[in-house]
Amino acid sequence: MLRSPNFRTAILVTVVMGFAINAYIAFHRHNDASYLLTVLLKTGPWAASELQNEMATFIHSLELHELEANSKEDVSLQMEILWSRLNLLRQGPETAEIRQLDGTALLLSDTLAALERFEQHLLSSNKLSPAVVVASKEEFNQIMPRVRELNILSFNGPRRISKIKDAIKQQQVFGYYLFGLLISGGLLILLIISENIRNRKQALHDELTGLPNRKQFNDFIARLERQGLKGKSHAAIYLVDLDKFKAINDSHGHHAGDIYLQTVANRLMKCASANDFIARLGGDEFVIVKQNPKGRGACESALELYCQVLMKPIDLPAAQVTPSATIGVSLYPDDGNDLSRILANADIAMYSAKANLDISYAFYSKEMDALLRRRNKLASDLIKAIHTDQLQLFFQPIVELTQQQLIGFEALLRWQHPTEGYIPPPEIIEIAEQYGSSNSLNQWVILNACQTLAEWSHYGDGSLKMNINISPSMYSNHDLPAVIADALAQTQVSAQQITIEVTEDTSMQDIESSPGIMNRLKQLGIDLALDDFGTGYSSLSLLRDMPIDTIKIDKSFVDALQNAPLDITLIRTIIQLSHSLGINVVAEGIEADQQLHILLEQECDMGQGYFFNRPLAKDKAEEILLTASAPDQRYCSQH
Amino acid sequence: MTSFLSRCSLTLLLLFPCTLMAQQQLPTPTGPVILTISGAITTTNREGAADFDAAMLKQLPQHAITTATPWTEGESQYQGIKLADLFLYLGAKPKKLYASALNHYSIEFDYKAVEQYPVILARTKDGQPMKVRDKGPLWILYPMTDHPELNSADHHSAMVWQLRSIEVR
Repeated sequence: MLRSPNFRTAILVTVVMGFAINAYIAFHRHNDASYLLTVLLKTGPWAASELQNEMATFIHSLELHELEANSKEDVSLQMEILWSRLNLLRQGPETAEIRQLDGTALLLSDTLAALERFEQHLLSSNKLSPAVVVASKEEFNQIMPRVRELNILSFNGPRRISKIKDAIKQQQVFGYYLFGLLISGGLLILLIISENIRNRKQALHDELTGLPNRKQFNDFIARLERQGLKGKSHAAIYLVDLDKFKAINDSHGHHAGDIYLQTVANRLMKCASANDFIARLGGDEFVIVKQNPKGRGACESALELYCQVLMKPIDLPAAQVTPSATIGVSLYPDDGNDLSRILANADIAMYSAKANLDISYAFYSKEMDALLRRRNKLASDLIKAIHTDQLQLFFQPIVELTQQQLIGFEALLRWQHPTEGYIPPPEIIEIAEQYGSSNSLNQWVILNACQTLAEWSHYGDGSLKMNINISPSMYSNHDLPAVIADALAQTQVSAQQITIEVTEDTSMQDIESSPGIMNRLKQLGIDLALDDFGTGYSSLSLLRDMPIDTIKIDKSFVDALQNAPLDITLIRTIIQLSHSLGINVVAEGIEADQQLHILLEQECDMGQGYFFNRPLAKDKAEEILLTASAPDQRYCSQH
Repeated sequence: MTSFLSRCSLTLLLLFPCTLMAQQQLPTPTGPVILTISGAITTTNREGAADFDAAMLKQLPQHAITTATPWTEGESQYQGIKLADLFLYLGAKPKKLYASALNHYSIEFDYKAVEQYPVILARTKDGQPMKVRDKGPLWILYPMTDHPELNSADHHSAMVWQLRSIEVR
């Protein structure tokens, strides 16, 4: 509940509002009380006491005048001063409070009337008559006790007492709000502290998996190095990279991708020991640091465990996926003197393992550096090769066996590198896949194959077929049907002439993660062939579930034909099964006459291999075509 | 706009007599003395003090402020010399002022606010000379409406009305 951002915001807003309201009210209560105590309760009584004082002074000046001890001006000045005080009490906010005391209004108006009468006397003659002085003195003397009474009343009359009580009460209320202010302020500080802790945690953890993130990993490595790892202890860094994670994200959605990553993270945590440090470095990359492993053997068994645990199927909302990961391992201090070197080595080992489709992990070795450099060079050269037509397609004839007639070619990629020499096709594919140039490579292959078909359109009746091999990521990461459709449109080649060869073990995962891709390819009108049949792990149900037109029996089965009756049975079974499903069969790698005879006996439909021809350069292939397109010409092998 | 013009004219009014004042000898009052400045001043017109009658004060550059006070109803316009100008005129650099009133009220206060704000020695209220009964003839007045921060107890106590004398300290 506390994890929900909305809830946290609500708490924060409530506390801040509580703080603000308390602060506002406390401020006002305190101001009111202060105003009562400092202004109202001080200035009123002061004015009242000054009134009494100044009236006494005025009466005294009259007494002096009676004795002729002062001038008329002196008396006048005292009158003015008294008058000023009266005016002060009659107006202005400061004395408003005192004007409300009982009898004050009457007292003030009586005094004003007396002053006005006295002023008349002052103005009416040059000299004040003794009678006027005595009468006036008497009049003000009579007012005097009431002034005294006002003075006392303003100091401790019931109204004033209640005001003081008011002020005290205001102060009490202020106290309550001050308490509220302290509580909410304290809460606010607690919230800020907890937010800080949370932010710190967030800054160091991956939100999705809860594992430490790259920053914390870097800190950890730095700390290990600071602690003087050198010479004292051993460590192993395992870099775990999930294969084809992007495809899972793309085809099953990000939510499924998240579940996938969380599951992987949980599995890694479960099989880690207390001393292991596990972090998620990025999208599909995890790292495990094992401190003081008990030798290389222990590292290897840990690796086996990781692979075993990782590669169990994961249930996603709409599908089940079996994760595969590539792990690179490097050991400290065996492979380098500092941990950042070890980390880089683990990375190299991981890429080396990735480059080799048969393995899922590799320990770093010095040779890998050279290998990696070669890889990097080839990767950048491949992009140039694609754009400068350094690549070539070779064509291996596919022959209909009973009539021995050429029906098409399998297009095979060739790359003669200027310095590295011949690069085998699997390596080209791997580099393209690994360095992200597979889309342009496959585009090149498909377009060139189609262009060649277009050039050869005058041979035969236009039913010549071309088999094209596609690299795995084209199924999952790129829009293969669109690339093919584009090439067909550019070259005006009929879709029926194209067969896409799907390699069972390398491409099947990508195909599974892209549901519907096979049907989309079929809708284009092209044929699908299952390559290297019998070598992969896929079940026979593939034949039922996928819109396959042809299977290509792997060379290893054909090789075995010569001497073992059991292998003949196996071939027969495959061919019969295929035929019963309406699927054609091509035998690969036919090298001997005897193999051909057996295959013919077993009613295999088509074949290819050195017995007929090796893969041929384009001009050589054209020679074969020329011969084959002559009427009723049987296919002539090189033999 | 009006206020801007009036400010300009007031500034001119101030600049002009200031230069004039500097060369002038302080005249001797001819009417009744209403203000005596004593203490640390250099310009005097009797031994250790400067006496002013109403006419002398009227001739000095005038500054007007409009303000309300806690002792009057509403705002009024008051006019008189700026206290800071007066001390410049008398060659005084006060730190503190000790003001006494006709009603024997007296108070010592800091000169700082007088320097910072246009505090005047009000002579007229709404154009009329102030009688003693209206806190005249002179009233130390702070521009409280323009500067509400002056509306505080310490400044209240320095706003001496019926001012009679100031001792510069």
